[in-house]
Amino acid sequence: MIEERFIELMNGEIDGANSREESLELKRYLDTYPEAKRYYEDLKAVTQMFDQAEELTPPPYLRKTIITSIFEREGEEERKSVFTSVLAGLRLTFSRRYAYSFTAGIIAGILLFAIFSWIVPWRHPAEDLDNLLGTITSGNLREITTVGPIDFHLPSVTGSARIRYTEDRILAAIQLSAESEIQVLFQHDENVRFEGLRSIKSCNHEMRVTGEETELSHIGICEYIVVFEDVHRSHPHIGFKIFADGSLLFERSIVPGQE
Amino acid sequence: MKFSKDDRKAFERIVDKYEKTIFNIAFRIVNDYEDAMDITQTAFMKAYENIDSYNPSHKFFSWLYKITVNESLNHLNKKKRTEKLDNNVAINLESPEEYTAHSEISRRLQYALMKLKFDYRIVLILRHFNSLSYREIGDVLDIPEKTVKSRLFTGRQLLRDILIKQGYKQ
Repeated sequence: MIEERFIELMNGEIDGANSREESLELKRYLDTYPEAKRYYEDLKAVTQMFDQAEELTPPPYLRKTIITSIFEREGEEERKSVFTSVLAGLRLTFSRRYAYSFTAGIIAGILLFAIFSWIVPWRHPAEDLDNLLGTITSGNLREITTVGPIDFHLPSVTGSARIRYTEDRILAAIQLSAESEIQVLFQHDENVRFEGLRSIKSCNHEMRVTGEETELSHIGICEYIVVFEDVHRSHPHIGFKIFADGSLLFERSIVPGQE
Repeated sequence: MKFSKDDRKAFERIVDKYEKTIFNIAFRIVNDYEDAMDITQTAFMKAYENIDSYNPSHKFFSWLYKITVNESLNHLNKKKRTEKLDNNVAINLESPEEYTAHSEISRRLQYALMKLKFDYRIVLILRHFNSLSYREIGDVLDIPEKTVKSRLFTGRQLLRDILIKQGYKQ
């Protein structure tokens, strides 16, 4: 039977916790009692097994799994908390009273939209005349005859023209880029009257209007719409000419329905 | 305190430093490679989540080991309950290659450790695999140093008896 104190000293010796005196005392005891020595050797052998047991190596992907699980979860929680705050905010503000007001507002909006749509006729989608806002067009815009676009690739002038005949108006939309000064001339009979001009892309121009002629002089890039009144609603033809430095560059007689 | 992006780097360094140790502690406690991976992952997650509760006057590894030991113990308890519920559960004697490649000594020791009660097993693991002092073991397990010694000495004796019974000779 080994004394309890010496079992403690044996363990202390294994753990390196004994003082020098305790170590000597143990040594003397072990030298005296072979049974105690055997027991001590066994204990030492057991602890040496720990030293001989290799450490396990975790799989290489474990690190990534750990990092990903931590920081993805963190991101999710942040997103969740933002979502939760928004929900909480809605919960605070969305009372039954507000719900009724909100629904009433939506219904009123739908009704107003329906009434407005009924009063104001839809414009013909193929003939969007939005760019004519500000001009003095009137009458039925649904019945439009369009001539063009007429494209110009002249020596010093490029661009296009589009002529529209409404029920009582003739609209000439012109887009021209001229290197030198040019004159754009509209010739018509007495049943056509110049009504107005709207400049879309502003440029320096001069205009001359006589009974049967409307002339615009300009240089550079210009975009404008010339509006004529078709007094008898007869859709007459219009003479369209472009001059540069006194020379005629382009001439065309515009006849609605012939393009 | 929450880890910012900069802290992520710091935490990655912690993972790099302790991953292997934590994994080994978990494995020696539960004796299952896959479970040890789960425990390691959970331990780091809990450490990250509860970093506020870490008291810097204590050693960081003691705190991390404590989380690991608790997580391993929870895992063992859960497993015990599951096995009780399902008596037909097969004991998986097959170990991954990483483990079977290890020495006969390592496997014998692990087998003997698993025969010990948890209280003895854990002090032996922390003392001999992780070289913790009596005091450090006491910190990890929240027990007095005296109890650590007592469990350690008894654990060694029990381990010796088991190994002798197995016919192991040095």
